[in-house]
Amino acid sequence: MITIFIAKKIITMTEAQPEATAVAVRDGIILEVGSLDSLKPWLEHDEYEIVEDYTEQVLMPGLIDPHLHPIMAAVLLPMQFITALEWKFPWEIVPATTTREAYLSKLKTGHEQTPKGEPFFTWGYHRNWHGEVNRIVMDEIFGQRPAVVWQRSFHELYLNTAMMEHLGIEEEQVKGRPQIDYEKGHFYENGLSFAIGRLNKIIMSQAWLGKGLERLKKVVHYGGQTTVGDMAVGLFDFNLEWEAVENIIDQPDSPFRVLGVPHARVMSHINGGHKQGVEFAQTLPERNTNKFRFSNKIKLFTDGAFFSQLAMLKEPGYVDGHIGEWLTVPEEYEVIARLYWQAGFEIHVHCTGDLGLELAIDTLEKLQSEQPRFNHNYTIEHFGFSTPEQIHRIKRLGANVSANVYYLHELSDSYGHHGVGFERASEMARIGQCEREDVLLSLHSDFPMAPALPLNSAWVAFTRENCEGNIVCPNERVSLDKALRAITIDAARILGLDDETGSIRAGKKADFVVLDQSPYDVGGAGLKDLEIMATVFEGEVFPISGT
Amino acid sequence: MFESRAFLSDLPVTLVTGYLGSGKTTYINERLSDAHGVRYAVMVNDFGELNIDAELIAASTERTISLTNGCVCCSLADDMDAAMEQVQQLAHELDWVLFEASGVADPERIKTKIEARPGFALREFLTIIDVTRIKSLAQDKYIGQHIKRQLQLTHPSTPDSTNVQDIEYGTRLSKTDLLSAAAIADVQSWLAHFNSNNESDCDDARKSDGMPRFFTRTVEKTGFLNRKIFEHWLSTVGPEIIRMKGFVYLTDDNMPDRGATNRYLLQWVSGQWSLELFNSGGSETDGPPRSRLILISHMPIGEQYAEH
Repeated sequence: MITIFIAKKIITMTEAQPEATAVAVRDGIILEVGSLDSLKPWLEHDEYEIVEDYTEQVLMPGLIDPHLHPIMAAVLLPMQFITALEWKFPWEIVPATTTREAYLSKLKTGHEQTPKGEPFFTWGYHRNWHGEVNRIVMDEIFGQRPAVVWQRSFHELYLNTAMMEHLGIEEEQVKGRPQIDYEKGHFYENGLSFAIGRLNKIIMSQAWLGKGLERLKKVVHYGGQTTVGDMAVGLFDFNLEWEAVENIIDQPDSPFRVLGVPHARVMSHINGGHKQGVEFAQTLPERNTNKFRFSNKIKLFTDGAFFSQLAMLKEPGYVDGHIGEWLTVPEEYEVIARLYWQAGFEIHVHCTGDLGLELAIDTLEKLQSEQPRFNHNYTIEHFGFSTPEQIHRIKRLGANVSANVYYLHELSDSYGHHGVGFERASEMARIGQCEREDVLLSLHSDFPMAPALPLNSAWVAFTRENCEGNIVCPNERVSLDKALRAITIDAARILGLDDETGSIRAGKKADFVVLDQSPYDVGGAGLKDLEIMATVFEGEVFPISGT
Repeated sequence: MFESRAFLSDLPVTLVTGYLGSGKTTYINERLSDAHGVRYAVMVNDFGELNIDAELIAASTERTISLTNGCVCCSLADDMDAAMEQVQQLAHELDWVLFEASGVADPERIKTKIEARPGFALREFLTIIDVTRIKSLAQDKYIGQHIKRQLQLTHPSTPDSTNVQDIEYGTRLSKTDLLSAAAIADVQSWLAHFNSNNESDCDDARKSDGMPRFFTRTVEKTGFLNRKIFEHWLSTVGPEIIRMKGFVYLTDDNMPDRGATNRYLLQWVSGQWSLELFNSGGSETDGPPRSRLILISHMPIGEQYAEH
């Protein structure tokens, strides 16, 4: 049985035949893309049906986010979002809550709507908008119900008295500790980890993570994605993550596949050494199913978190003189990278600062001279700060870039004022030069760090508009074509799945996204407002409700 | 003097910093083999490098190895919080924590992390310096900034006022056998530049080799002790004892001899102490009740404690 999708326009993301109007699919595989007329030879040999639901719409290849973290998302998504900026989810549009009165009233409603005996968790609190919320305020609202108010940055939270009792946190234990305020129920930065250690029995439970992953499925679908990368399997607990994703994502109702890229350090730890870690990582593809698989990819880390200003910077560093953090000791990075390089792995390396990037590039140069490899897909992940000279080297050494452009949207303004000064803040995510030098580029969300909406990422890459509405460093914008490739075919190349998905041509999986208009018609500035009507995963239609 | 009694049960922590290969593990191995009854929790990045005699292993899991002498080795495995959580579960069976910082950790950040953690108190801060490499490491493109920061923070210019208890700072030079005396002196004078507020690195015999040594004595007693007499004895313990911990079997007027139900956990820190009824877990069921205390000091501990 052949299914033919006809559309106002099909954007194939191939150079040979960029546009079409019909595509024939059988058993999830594209037979041919062209016009209803050109498909005829196929129709003479088999039964067929024509899907006419999208004749006024535009089909593109299913979108790809090559770097997100399902398990982190699963922890966050069961919480009630009450946020200062609007968040769009398939189950609700979370409106902006910008006053204290509105915030407290949302907490009250949340309390009333939560079934008796269940704890209440909310995420998104921000003092600048919502005023002070502490244990005393929470006790008045929640009474005997255990409750948690998690701050937007993830770095702090408040517990009410009932939750402290529930978790067995006593005054004697925590009083006088830095970064814990017992009276206010406030746990932040280093004090936070103590609270999380106790909250884990709730937020790392099978029930909680199961609910979170069910929601993640909807989020990924809602963003028009048919392929995503889990870019550090083992971040919290390798076996727990593998089982959870396997059980929940690998189901008929999941309209996407996940490529798991294991966390190298975790491979070493659970197997008692780096060499044993490499050997273990080589066995992971044996576990592959259609929707969750491993390949010959591995995730490494150089420097610290971008959001916490722990990126390692070259001179002149941070304005206030603080220094960042190495997540891997540089000498050790080289040792681990060499083992995986020699074993034929494709290395994806988390780099946030230009010194972190320097380590990644220097190491690649060394490995290339020791044992040259072509098509090695060494990929720089995140790509916060960089120098123009580093991008020449990335190009010459054959590396790729997978950029989190949301950094520049959310942080370019504040990091100009408080961080690195305006010159370097405006040049974060130096993707324009990647295009000029023809470096393979993909865009990612790092969800839940940024919204899992590839069209939104492409919009940021095209406009470089930050959250203040300013255009920052317009010379580092990318073209519309490069931006769209970065969330389709080029993202597939970076994940090593380009023979299977990322464009619409004969032989690939029938993965599509259905849009109300063509991105080439609305232009780059209109990308974020395109409406996603449905996705098609391996030939099966998954409509997006509520649109 | 103290804001709360919680510090009594805090596990004292020795933070061992230094770059890769500087000798952190060697130092930890020395402390372990010289434990004198102190039950250490050793928190290291990789316990493959510890000298653990296979015969000493009582039990092991993916992240912990329990030894028959009461020590526990715990792998940090990039997750300091989880490791500290695990050690905390065992806190009443442990006396001291040896914490190995990763080679490029910002010591100030780790210090804050330990201080913020209920159940732990930073007591010693030791930096191990490989004299053959330290000068070139301080110039290293990637880690020079961290190395310099480590050297500066090892010698804080002002006493730490945020902590209820003072922290002993120390440095230890390693691989000195590989350099001539003149070369070592050169390194020492170079190190002194990071240390302008401190008169000398070597003014204190205990600090000179970076070994803030412990002297310990275990006091054991069979049969029940009278609580009043025991409390009086506690009041006679001298200031040289920095810590004392253990289980004691006490009787008093309200609580006559009822076997294991009279088991108390004593926590004693610098003259402040608590006795907590502690009947769960680990009690010796066979034979007469046996109280056991460990005394820890930086000085040799006199016989009078054993004679009690």
